[in-house]
Amino acid sequence: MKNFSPLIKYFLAFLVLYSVLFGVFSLPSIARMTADAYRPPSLFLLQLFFPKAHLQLEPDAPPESDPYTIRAVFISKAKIEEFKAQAKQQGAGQVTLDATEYDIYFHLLFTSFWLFLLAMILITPLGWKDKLVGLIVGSLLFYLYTVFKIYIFLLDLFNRSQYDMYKLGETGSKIVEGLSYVLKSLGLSAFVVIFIWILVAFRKSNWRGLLGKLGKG
Amino acid sequence: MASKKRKNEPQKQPAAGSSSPNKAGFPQRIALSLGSFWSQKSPVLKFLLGFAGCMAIFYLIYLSPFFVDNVVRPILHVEASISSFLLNLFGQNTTANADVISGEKFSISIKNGCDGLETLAIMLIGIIIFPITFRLKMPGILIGTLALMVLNLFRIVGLYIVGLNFSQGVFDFLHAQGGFVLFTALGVFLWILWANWALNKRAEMAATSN
Repeated sequence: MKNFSPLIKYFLAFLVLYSVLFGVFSLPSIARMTADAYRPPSLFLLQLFFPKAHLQLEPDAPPESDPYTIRAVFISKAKIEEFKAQAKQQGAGQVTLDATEYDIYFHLLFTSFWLFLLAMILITPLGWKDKLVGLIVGSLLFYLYTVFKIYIFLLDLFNRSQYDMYKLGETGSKIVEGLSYVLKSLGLSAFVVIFIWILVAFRKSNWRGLLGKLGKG
Repeated sequence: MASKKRKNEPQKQPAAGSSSPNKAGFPQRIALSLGSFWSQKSPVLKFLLGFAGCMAIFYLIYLSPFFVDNVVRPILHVEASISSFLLNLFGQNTTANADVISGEKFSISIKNGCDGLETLAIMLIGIIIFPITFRLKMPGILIGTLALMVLNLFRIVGLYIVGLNFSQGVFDFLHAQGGFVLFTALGVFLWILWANWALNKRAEMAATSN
């Protein structure tokens, strides 16, 4: 038991750090800021992958705007052109279109697990330079994973006939549907965090040594 | 092909052994940095490849309808029954029916994902693919599985008590967000605990045999 007491200290440090980070990032103003920083680059990436869709990532709509939610609003660009042409024929100057909304619970998609990654890297006994590199590279990798998740969720939606934007074949539909189902699992996000943590925090020189060092303090 | 190879050799040699990598071409520099990345990370990358492969197999099985119907559901029913029994020890007066625990004022349904199996898989795969003798893996597998299953029961009991006495926000935090992360962290902690024990034990065994 004596051998394990430094490990228990690390776990307690993780608990305290994660709780503090989670508390801070759950403050509505900080949560809104995080979502505001997340939306523009994610929209840019998603637009690259969905050129046929007019896509926007917006904060949740007022009056009861939820700071922990991001709203994806989309409509087919072909439909916009179709309606524009119709309006032109009828001599109408303006056209109103109903876009479809898809709510993303951002706190669960990104923040909770990103903070898990930050806390894991911060408590790992590494030099500050390695920690900083790990935090930057790890955050970037996890961010890309969450954008990939949104991409698959949207592709699954767009593939359905009522949206009529990206039609996949039978096999493609099955793969995207299956991926969308798997990616909703919280356990997978936790696994991705652990995967990234091991990838950025460990190398040949500290792989076994660090596991031993954790116990020795 | 042979002549092509011979032609390339004199060009490659200075770049590979060069003391000034700036003179190397872009593809060579990429190859050099990939080579150096691999030599720095190879045991970690091998472990991660095995880890990811095993997790992919786990999810294929875990989410298959057959496994859900014949393994996950019975586990959920057993977890509901034991949790209800534990809650009754705390005077909660609950009953379990399939995966639902019901009391007078509150009831919860234990669904896929609350079974603790994903965290258990992360820990067990971590132990199984760790490069160490199987004899040292067995205690980790047995004690780790037992510990995580028991802790998951207390997690369910805790969630019921929180749901009964606190707001929906607190329940959500402990259920899906922070609570799930903390339970996974516990699985990782148990894995490191085992790895630490197993490495020390191996060192002890080596010292004894010497």
